[in-house]
Amino acid sequence: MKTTQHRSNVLRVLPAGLLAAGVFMATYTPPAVSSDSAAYAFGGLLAGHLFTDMRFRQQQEARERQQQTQALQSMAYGGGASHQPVAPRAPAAYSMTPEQKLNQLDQLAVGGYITPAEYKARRQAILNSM
Amino acid sequence: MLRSYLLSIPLTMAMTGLLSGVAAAALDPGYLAGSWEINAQGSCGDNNAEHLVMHGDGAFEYSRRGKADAVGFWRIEDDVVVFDMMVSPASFQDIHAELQQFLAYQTYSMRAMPIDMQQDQFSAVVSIGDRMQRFNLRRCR
Repeated sequence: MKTTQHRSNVLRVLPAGLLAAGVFMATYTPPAVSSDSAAYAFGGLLAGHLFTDMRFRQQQEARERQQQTQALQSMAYGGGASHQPVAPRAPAAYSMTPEQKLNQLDQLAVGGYITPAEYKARRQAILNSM
Repeated sequence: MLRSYLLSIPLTMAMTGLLSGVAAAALDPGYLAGSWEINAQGSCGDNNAEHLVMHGDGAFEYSRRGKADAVGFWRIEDDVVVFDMMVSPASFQDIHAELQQFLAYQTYSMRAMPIDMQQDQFSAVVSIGDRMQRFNLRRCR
């Protein structure tokens, strides 16, 4: 008796469940996943560096503000410590010697950025230019 | 007979590969000038793809999503291409959300060593700051 009632309850609920599952399956769309960082390889490299640089600049600015505060406090309390502004460094002229080029090439090869064949060809070109 | 014929197929393929490798290009401004697609094939007409346009007058622009995200000047130094560029970090907020607060333009210098230069494609090991990555570029025009 009990089993028969249970079976009839299941049969009553089952079509509704199947219908709900069908509606869900028909209307479900997977959430959109942003793949920009994967899609933009070069942009990813730039964004990574920009992020690191911006964080570094923020920390540097915080340090400078702290130094200025300390300098002002020092002046206010008669310390008299002088803080000379640091002149920005001029970019150095860049010209690599063959030895530097070979070292750079070695680093690229060790890092796996170039193939052994590319390493060999580029090394030979540098040696020929000496 | 059949065996020697079968053996000759990979040999011929290897020779073809070697010959195509011989058609290497030299690193000069005339070679680099043009529009290049980055790490893609057949994306030249796709505005969403990454493109590097190197103008003959030494200017360049890196674009994606149909707009220039980095602009500046390029030059060849020895066997390296140097890119001095102006970038707004906020342009890259879709990749790093934290960058959205940095609207001011910043200047950066990037170096690229072209490798395996063919007539219409080359690879380049690109370094900026302490980051380094290899890319493949194909000529669009």
